[in-house]
Formats: sequence, structure tokens, C-alpha cells
Amino acid sequence: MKLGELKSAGHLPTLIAAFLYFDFSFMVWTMLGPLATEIASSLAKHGYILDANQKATLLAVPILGGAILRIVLGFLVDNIGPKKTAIIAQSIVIASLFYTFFRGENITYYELLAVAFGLGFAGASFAVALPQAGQWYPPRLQGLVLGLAGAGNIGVVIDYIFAPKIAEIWGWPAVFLVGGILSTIILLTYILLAKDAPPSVYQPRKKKLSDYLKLLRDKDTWWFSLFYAVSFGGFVGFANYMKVYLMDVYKDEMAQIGLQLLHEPNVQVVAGYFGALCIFAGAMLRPVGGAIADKIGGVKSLYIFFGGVAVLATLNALLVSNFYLAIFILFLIMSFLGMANGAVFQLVPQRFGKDMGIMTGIVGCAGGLGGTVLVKTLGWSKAAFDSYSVGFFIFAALAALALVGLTMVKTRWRTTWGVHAGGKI
Amino acid sequence: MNSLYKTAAFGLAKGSELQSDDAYGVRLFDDILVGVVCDGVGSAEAGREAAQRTLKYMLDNFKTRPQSWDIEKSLSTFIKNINEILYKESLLEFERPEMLTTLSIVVLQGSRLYGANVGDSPIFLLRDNKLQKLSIDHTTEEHGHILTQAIGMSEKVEPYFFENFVKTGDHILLCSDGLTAVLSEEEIAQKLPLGASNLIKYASKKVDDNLPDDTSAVTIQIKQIDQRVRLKQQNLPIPQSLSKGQVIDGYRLDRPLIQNERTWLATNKGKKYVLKFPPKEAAEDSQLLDLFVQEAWNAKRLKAGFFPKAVIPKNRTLRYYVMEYIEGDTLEKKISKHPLHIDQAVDLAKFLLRSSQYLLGFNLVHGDIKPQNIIITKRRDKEIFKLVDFGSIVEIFSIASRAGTPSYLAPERFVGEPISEGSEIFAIGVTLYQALTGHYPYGEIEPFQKPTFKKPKPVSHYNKKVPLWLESVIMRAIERDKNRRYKHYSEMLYELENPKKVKPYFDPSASLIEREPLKVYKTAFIVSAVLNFILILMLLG
Repeated sequence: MKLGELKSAGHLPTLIAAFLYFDFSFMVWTMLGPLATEIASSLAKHGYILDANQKATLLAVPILGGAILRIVLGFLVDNIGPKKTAIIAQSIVIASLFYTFFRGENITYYELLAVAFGLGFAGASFAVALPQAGQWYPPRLQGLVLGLAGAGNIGVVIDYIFAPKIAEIWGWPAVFLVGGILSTIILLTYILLAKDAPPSVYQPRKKKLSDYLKLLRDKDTWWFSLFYAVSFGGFVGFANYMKVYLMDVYKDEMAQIGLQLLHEPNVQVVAGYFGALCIFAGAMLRPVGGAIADKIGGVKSLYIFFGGVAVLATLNALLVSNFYLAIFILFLIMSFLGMANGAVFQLVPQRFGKDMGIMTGIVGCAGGLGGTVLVKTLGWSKAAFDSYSVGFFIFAALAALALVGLTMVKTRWRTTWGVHAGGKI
Repeated sequence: MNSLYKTAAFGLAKGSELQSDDAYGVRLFDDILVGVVCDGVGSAEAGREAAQRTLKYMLDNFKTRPQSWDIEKSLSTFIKNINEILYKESLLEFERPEMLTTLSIVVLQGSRLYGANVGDSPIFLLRDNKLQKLSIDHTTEEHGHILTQAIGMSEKVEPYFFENFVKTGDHILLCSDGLTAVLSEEEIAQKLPLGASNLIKYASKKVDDNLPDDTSAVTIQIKQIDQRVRLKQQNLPIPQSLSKGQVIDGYRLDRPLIQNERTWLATNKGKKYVLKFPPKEAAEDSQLLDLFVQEAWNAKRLKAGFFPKAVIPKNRTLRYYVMEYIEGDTLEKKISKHPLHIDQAVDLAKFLLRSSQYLLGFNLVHGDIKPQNIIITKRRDKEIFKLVDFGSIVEIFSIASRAGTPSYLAPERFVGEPISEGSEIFAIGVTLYQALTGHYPYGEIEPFQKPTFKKPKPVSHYNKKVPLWLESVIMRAIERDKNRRYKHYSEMLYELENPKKVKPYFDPSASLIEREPLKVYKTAFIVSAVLNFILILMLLG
């Protein structure tokens, strides 16, 4: 590892602050997922019963917010600097968290939607923290900086493990209190430690709208957006919806397992553990996917990952009713999606070189939109057919479309790489 | 033109030696006059070679210089290139810079004098009986007389460039430092008008024909200024979009030949041509434009049957160049149906090697040899090959990136080694392997992959008709370890021409019994005979 180099080059306090800010933000961003069922039953107690569509909307709004806001924050970073942007975004997040805590169980569905959008600012922290840390470091260390940040995906696993238990003991609003207090501490740390890179270290090159348009004329941009919409959209979509899905389909099995094997009478907590297990696979295997792509080629490895996802999602829709098998398949789906995330981001920096900054924005936004669509599709499938099969089919079809895209990209890439482009690593 | 300049070049080896390490020359090309002196340094052989190659390189390249390049640009590019070539070749061959030479060069165009020097071979201008030194010596006197700059000394070279106006009656002298060691500036000023030969002989006589160093000189006398300095209008526009049916300077565009729509099939007066345009981005990116200019220049100057003929139309209104259209299929298309016949594959191999040898004569490599870039066409009922795509042709050793097509790149090119004869041989090998088997020896490799090169299946695994000798040649061309691969085109060509002399190829991991069965059996026989003998002795005892 080159961790030693990170100390000597760049600005370590900023890196630490950005890392904490980003990784913790990911946790806050996906906080509604493991609490969705608790919140739904608490709303029901006050006479407001959520249907599957509404549940899905509540879970989709933070993802959608994160997708759109990252472009907005990206522009802010260019104009007022990363530090100010981060403070503004983080303040909105903290306000949303405390608001929810103080409203507690009396909160209405529409207030919750507004809070969900506020959490979207946490999801957009990609666009702030990564460039901020990256600006301090020379190009050869960028990969490592990105990798440290990628570890943020683990945040959602932590949510799944702890949130249901906290909700059981102190009630679900307490999770928002904990989140709010921790977020405030992180913000204070950030204000103390983080520093925008001075002009002598980094000359900002403002992203112009025309830069985005120029990239959108490139076919590869669209394909890569689709790839990430499937892989990251799949990962973050399932991660948010996992609890609702498991509680809807396998509540009885999980309750039984909870009592017999885990000595855990609260099925909500058990669902959280199983959700964490599947999501954990996706989060941890991301770098493995990158390494595989390096070795056997990004396109080839994505064939395997997307092919695997398409087959497994179809299997899940058609055949599976056994709980253990279902968990195993979900575990595999999440693993493949996580590795696909890594593989897509093995290709993007090399393919887009100096446009990398803008491309991360576009592709990341597509990922968020993909997640939004997935969650809404699953909710719609449940509401319309009282089954998730159609939703899984549609997801399998999207993965298959990504396979078509891979074939197009592969054919186009089977050409000469110019002396100029050079494919330099 | 000869009424413009009077030139002379002459040199003598030091002492009573026969061969000098200096190289010198002066030539007139179209509107420019080029004079060069190189003084080889380093160990004798390599130094002499460096001097001679640098001289040849500069003269050859100025002869065919891209018209849109001004003299400064040509000078700096050519010097940079030859420096890289010699430096990297030395590292490969000697593992340290050995091929070193000084370089002093002047280029006269109209009333303008352009010059550059690397090292300590001086350039003088004599005007109104006053001698002026135009060059600057790259030396340090700290630990004796040591060169701080020389062609081939390090990866980067920083030549000293200068520019001047010349007048009628001016004399220019380029010489090796052997001359200034013997003659004073007054003597040089006095004798320079007599020409190089007289100047050198005068110096030699002064030290009783025992010159302390190789001594050579190039002299140029300006008799008349060329008034026809043409400032060519080369700011040609780059078309941003091209469409079917569009007519450009009489060429009607029929259809794009490559996906990017910058290479078109066109007709002019009933004849078919191929038009190649620079990429759209070249309008903003001067680096891309340079590459295109170089490509067009290569296309135009590489006149040999291996390649399609190419011209740059004199009065073009847009930036592009024209190639003859070659009727026929690509090798890629042909082998997608059937593998090549053995004879044809051998012909292909020889063709590719000879084309590469031709390019090497210009210090160039093709850079993208693959079935897609080979066209099979008919000439008088005989099938012949043509190698197309001038776009990847580069100076040997000049790039260390992964430019080219990934599946044909030699393993060492994935780890940053420069393009070389060996890496070209690898591409030729992969092409032949594919032509005979329809498979890639190491699988298809993607652009952003760090591939592992596993042991390839022998050619005969897919195609039983391939004779052992040809298989051995191909396997030796696609060898992963560049030290076990053919190092030069000539080695591979020799084996193709002399099948009987080809030794069977074995993978380095092959066992002894696979490699030398006879030796193994012989040894086994002797060992067992000895054992038996001992056994008999023991039984008897």
C-alpha cells in the first residue's frame, strides 16, 4: 500500500475530514431504508397507511435527490469552493435529522418526503468530498483517494445492523437523533480539519455547461451511464428497499429464525441483519470487481457481472420461494452489482482521462437515477401485482440491455488507440 | 539554384588513421540548403555510427519535411526524434548511452539562416572579414573538457537554436572541434573563403599531417539571395462534418470507410480514391493536427509497393490527403471464412517483414499491424498484399504508450517499454497466428486491461496443415519474453526463406524430453548400460 505516501504528499487532515464526511454521509443518505417498515407502522398507528407505491417513493426520494443534487453541488464547488459547499449541504442534512427527531411519531408522510429530500444532500457529498481530497493529491494517488472514499458504501451496512435495534429500544426517531448528533460532530471536525487546496496546489478548472454537452455527444458516455445506472442503481436501490422487501416476503421465516437461532424476538432487527449481510457483500466486493476488470478486461468482466445479475434476478422472480435460497441469491446479486460498480470505475478514468471529473458527475447521477427507478419499479410491482416478480423481471431486462451496450462498446473499442489517446495508465 | 550557394565539405581522420568518427554533409532541397556536421563521441564504433545516422536522419528528413512545418519546428522535432532513437537504442543494446554524437546544423531558406547545435562542434559566420561564432558549446571545463549535451546522451536534449539574416558574400562554416584545436580564429577567417577542402588541408599541414583529432568542415558561401521565399498558405480548414455526395476539390464523397467518418471512398473523373481527413478535434487541438500532418507526410513520402500510393493535392481547399483505392478484401474478412493457405501465409509473413524493413530504413515502424490493416488485392491474376493505415506510423522507440490495437501489442508494451522491432515482430506473429488459426494466441485483449499472457496453444492445435518449421517461426515471433523472440526482422525473414535451418520451437517451460528427445534417450541408454554393467560385475563378484 502507498498509505505512507498519502502522509507525505497532499494534506492529510483534509483527507481524513473528507473521508469522515463522505463515509458518514453515505450512512445518513441510506438511513430510511432499514427504518422504512418501522416508520410505516408508526404512521399507520396515526391512521395513515402507506401503500407499496408510497413506501417506494419515500425510499426513492433520497436517491433521486442525491443524483440531482450532486450536479448542483458540483457547480457550487467550482464557484464557492468545496469547504463552503460541504458546510451548507451538511447543515441542511443536520436540520432535516433534528427536525424529524423533534416531530417524532407525529410526523406526516409529506414532511417525511421533505426530510428524505434533505437527506439527498448527504448523498450528493460525493461531488464535494472526493474533489476536495483529490485536489490536494498528485494524479498517481487519485486512485487511492477514490478507493478510500469508496469504502463509504459500507455505511449502509452499519445502518442495517444498528438502526433497527436503536429503533426497538428508544423508538425510530431516536435513530435520527443519533444521526443528528454524530453529523454535527462530523461537521465540527470537518470545519476544523478540512482546507480547500490553495491555488499553488490546485488550479480549479471550472466545469462549463458546454463541457457536459460535449461529453453527452459521445456515445460511450450514454452507455457508461446505463452501466452505472444498473450496477450502482441496483446496489443503492436494493440497499434501500431490502428491508421492505424482506419484511413483505419473508417476514414469517425471519421471525422463526430470529426466535430459534438468534434469540432475537424482534423480526425488524432480524430483517436488518439479513439486509446487512447481502449489502455487505456488495460494498466489500467493489474493489475486487475493479481488480478483476484490471486483469481480464473491464468489458469482459462486466459481461460476467451483468450476465450473472440478469440470470439471478430472473431466477428470483420465477423460481425461488425458499428463504435461504432467496437470501443466497440476493447475496449473489448484490455481490455482482458491487463488483460491477468497481469494474465500471476501473474503466471510466481511463476512458475519459481529463474529463474524469465531469464524467464522475454524469455517471454518478445516472447511478442515482437508476436506483430511483429500481425502487419505484419494485414498489409499483408490489402495488399492482402484489408480487415482486415483475419488478425483478424488469431489472433483469435492464441488465440484459446493459449486455447489449457492452457488445456495442466492445465492437467500437476493437480499434486502433491513437498515438495521442495512447491509453496511458 | 546552384547560382545561389557555393558549398564544400571535407574531412580527415586524426593522425594516420583511415576512418574518421565525424560525419558531415551539405545538400540542397527545393527551397532550402542544409549543412550538417556530427562528431561522434563515446566508444569508437558506436560514436561513429551515431554520427553517421544523425547526419543521414537530418538530411533525409529535411528532404521530405512536412510542408506545413516551418524550419524551427522541423529542426526541433527532428533533433528530438533522433536523440530519442539513439538514446533508447543504446540503452537496449549497451544498457547505457553509447551512441553519442555532437550535432551542428544550419538551414538556409531565402535570406534567413536557421541553426542549432548540440555539443561542441562550432558554427561560424564570416561577414566583412569578421568571424562570428553563432553556436554555443555545451561543455564544462570543471573536470577537463566534458560535453554537457550530446545527441543520444539522455532522454531529453536541449539544443541551442539561433536565427539570422544572411547577406550576399557571407561565408558559413560548420566544423568539428578538431579544426578549432589547430587553427586560430584569424587563420580560419583568412582561409574560410577557400572552401572546406583547403581549410582542412591547411590545418593538416600546420601540424605536419598529424591531426590531433578527426577534423572536418562544411563551408557555404552565399552568392545570391533566393528572392522567391514562398510563404505557403497552410492554414487549411478542417471540415467539421462530411456527408455523402459532398464534392471536395473534384472528389465526390461516396461512403465512409471507417466508423468515425473521417476516411471516405470518393470518385474523381470516374476513378476511385480514398480521402482521409484529420479528426474534428484537430481544429482545436494542435497536437492532433501535428499528428495528422505527420501522417499525411508519411503517406506521401513512403513510396513503395507495400503501401497504397498517396498524394497531398497541391491546391486543396481543405485539410486532407488522397490515397489510391485498393480493390479487395481485408485479411480480417478473408480469414473469417477460411484460414490462409500455408504458401500464402508464408508470403504474407515475408511481405510484412519486408514492409517493416522498408519502414525501418526511415527509422519508422508501422505500429498497427493486424489483419484489418492488410488488404488482399489482385495484380495480373496474382494475389498480393497491401499494408494500409499510415495513422499509426511512428519513429521507432518514439512511443512508450499503449497506442495501437491491444490484442496485437507485445507484452513489454503493457509495461511502458517503447515500440521496437521486437514489438512489431510480435504483431506480425499474432497476425500470422490468426491468419492460420482464426484465433488470437493470447485471447482478445481490451484497451484498459493489464493482461496476463498465458502459454499459447501451438498453431498446429487449430490447423494441422501447418508444418512444424512454420509453427516454430510463428511461436518464436509471439514469444512472451522479448529476449527469446526474434530481435530483428532480418532474423525472422532468414528463417522463413530457409525452412530447413529452423530449429523446432519449445516453450521455455517444456521438459527436457520434449525439447531434446534424442539426447534424453541416449543418456538413458548409457546410464542403463552402465547400471547393467555394474550389476553384472556385482553378480559375478
